[in-house]
Amino acid sequence: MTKRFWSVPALTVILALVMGACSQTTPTGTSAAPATATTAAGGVVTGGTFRFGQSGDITVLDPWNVTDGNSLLVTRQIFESLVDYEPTGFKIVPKLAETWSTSADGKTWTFNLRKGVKFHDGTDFNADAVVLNFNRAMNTKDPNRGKPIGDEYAYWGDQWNGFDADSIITKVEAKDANTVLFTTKTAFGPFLANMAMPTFPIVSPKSIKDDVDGWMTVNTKGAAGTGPFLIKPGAWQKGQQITLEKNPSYWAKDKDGKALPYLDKVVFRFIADESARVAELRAGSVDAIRDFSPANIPTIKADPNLQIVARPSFNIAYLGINQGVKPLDNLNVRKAIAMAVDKSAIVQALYAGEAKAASQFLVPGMLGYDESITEFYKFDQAGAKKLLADAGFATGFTVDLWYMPVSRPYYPDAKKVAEAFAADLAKIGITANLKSEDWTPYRKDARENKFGLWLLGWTGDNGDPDNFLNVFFHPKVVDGKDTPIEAGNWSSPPTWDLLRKAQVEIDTAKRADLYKQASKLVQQDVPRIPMFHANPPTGTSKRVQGFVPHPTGGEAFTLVYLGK
Amino acid sequence: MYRYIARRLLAVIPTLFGVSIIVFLFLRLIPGDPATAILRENATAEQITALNTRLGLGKPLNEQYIDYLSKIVRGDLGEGYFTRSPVIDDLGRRFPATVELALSAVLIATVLGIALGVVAAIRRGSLFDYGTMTLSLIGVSMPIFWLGLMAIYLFAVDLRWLPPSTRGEQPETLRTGLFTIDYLLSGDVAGFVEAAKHLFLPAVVLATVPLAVIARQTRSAMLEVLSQDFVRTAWSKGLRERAVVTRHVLKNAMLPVITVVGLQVGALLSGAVLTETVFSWPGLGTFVLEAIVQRDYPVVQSIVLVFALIFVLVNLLVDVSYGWLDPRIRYG
Repeated sequence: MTKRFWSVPALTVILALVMGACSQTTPTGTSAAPATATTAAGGVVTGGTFRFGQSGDITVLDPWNVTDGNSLLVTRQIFESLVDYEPTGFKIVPKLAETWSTSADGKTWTFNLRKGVKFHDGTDFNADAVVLNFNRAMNTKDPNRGKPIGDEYAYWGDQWNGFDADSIITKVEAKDANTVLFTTKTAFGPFLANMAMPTFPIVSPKSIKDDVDGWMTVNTKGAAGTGPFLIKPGAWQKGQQITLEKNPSYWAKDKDGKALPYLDKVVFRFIADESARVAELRAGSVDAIRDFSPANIPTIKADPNLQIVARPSFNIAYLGINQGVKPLDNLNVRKAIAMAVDKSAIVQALYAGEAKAASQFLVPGMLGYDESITEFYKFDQAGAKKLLADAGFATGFTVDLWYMPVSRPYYPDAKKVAEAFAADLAKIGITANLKSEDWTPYRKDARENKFGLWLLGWTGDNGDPDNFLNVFFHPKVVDGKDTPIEAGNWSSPPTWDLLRKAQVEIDTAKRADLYKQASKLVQQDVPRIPMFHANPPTGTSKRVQGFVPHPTGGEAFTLVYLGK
Repeated sequence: MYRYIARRLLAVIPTLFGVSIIVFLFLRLIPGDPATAILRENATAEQITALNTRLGLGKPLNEQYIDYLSKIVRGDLGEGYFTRSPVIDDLGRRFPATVELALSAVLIATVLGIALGVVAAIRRGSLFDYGTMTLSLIGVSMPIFWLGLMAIYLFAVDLRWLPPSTRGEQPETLRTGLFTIDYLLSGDVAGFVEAAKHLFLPAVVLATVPLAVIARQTRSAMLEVLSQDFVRTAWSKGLRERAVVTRHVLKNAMLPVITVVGLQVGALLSGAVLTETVFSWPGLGTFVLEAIVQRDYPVVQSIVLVFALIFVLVNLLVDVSYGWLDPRIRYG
């Protein structure tokens, strides 16, 4: 008996494992390849499954009760609002309402609904359904509201100024089956932009009433909307994926009169890790991914089967300044900081070019964006040094510079950007100590003015300037009195006055002018420094056609199809 | 023996009690609160306080703990702040994923580790011995995160032999929650192969460290036993190699190996957090990580309790197996 006997079982196991790995030579995916796709006239291919890799699971299926991008991308395939944004911008276009009008005082809005639209459960979409949906969010005592959950109706609270007596919308009534009237407390500038948000769509009243606490959960028996795709019970596999199927009786047709959507199915796969998500795209097991850092852009561009589809920017990365920390209360010091940072160099080095230096706190193309402001402050380190000297800090000073521990579209790699800022500040004599902490306390501490300088940003919700400037610069109201803004201690009654006037103005030209004035005041006073508008990248297979990313961060896949 | 097991099982209760206090306190000591994590970036201080109060976090710590304890003794793990569903439901969904991954890793590590260790010991000083021990040293010192990423890029992106991440398509009917087993039970061979392909890379990566440790431990235990008198007696009786090694050496060498396997389960649980993250494997590891980031207290508390329970039970199992392996050991 040879002593080699013992190698046999060990080798067998190794061989079995290796062969197990080697015998699979085809690329794998979790969903069948679109073998059933057929080519139609005009080069559009119908059928097939679009597999989208996103960073996490959705929270609930109730679009009125979600705030995160992953959930909203899924719900917007199922549910539709009364109006919508145009495909790449913020012009308001019809959706479930065909036309609308407002009264002379701006306090009554009339929506004429699209006729013949049905929910996925076969019930009719009509004015009563609209009323039920809005009452449910507006009135905290509404029987259809469901049991309290996390951030209850958070967007309603934010966009419509609160609930019950606080709500800007005071009454929603069905005039007839296809006409809805909205009454507001005051004229409200952002009204239509809010209406188009994917957080205020119409859910089938039957779905809600049949299971008021459970229709939005993973055990849903029905979550019907009117959108291009529908969800069937069991299609949401928590932590793994959610599968939506084509709505066979979707109301919209394409420009050739062909039925929409083109796809048979959309599968959202939840792949938390960024590297794994990129690997899945490269391996061909998903057709599109988003939420990855610019560092991955060259890899995806280099792959002959893949492409980068950049989303038009709708965000602002800024540098927060706490005027409660000396010498940041000195205007010349703040100006010097604004002049010291070489934004263009950072765009190239840390955003792979997929960003633009920001000149103000609104995004180009938005209502109120001031084209005359081309630069917030011109990059001029010699000038910055002189300003510092004038302010009595010729030898500079030391300040804490906090950066976020997480990746956000506006700051995909906050640490590297903070290092670049610190290097630029060092050139004018300011020593910036880099600091960071966990994301949850970070936001709290920024708001509670525990930082000196800090990195943060914002992605807009609805294309309305109020959703940017008012978010950043509204005063903190204490006992009915205006006090400085929460994060940064800036006090500017003239700016607050402009923001309030703009909020109740419904003449868009007048509103635009008010916001431009506000932007100029911000530029003069430097309460924060606008840094970049980043274009969040989406990576897709080159087969993916008709995918047009919307600036708000989500879009319905109605016109998406898979080519050859 | 049974009294011993019963006593050990009773001792689990104070252990879990201690763990629950520690986790409860630590979660509340780390900066950040659930409402800030849940609410949007423009939430006001009042909104944050209001939500924290509604979640029951406004009360004194001792009251909060008593609330929590009185619920868990009734089997109510609460509802996730972020997941918005009963924690027990999510555990039920996530736990089988971790079990499937960890069991596969234990199986690979134990079978392969013992086999390699035995052969290395018997062929001491050979090229195989040196090769195995060098590889195992590399295996022990390998960062799982890096290894996982390299494995993904080599086998999934470049060679395209295996899928890069996740568990793949869920079987239509879930019986055990272990996809491979469920596909087999329903007779779906293609489904089984697909599930096994998803399982292969993460299981091997997770198995790396324990495999290396077990191989080294087996080798040294075997060498020690091989040099003892009774083995020489066995050889001199003219027994065949197979009989000497299996009946005499291996069984006697297993005691320290079993201890190491048991200890590796602990390492495996922490390794699972990393492996699951790299492979986006929807198990308890990724779940606890998400929950910590989101300050989802009920979820973190429950998962840590589950991990502690597994660890304690595995240790008990190890202790009980000593008696079987070595009849001289008695439980008093």
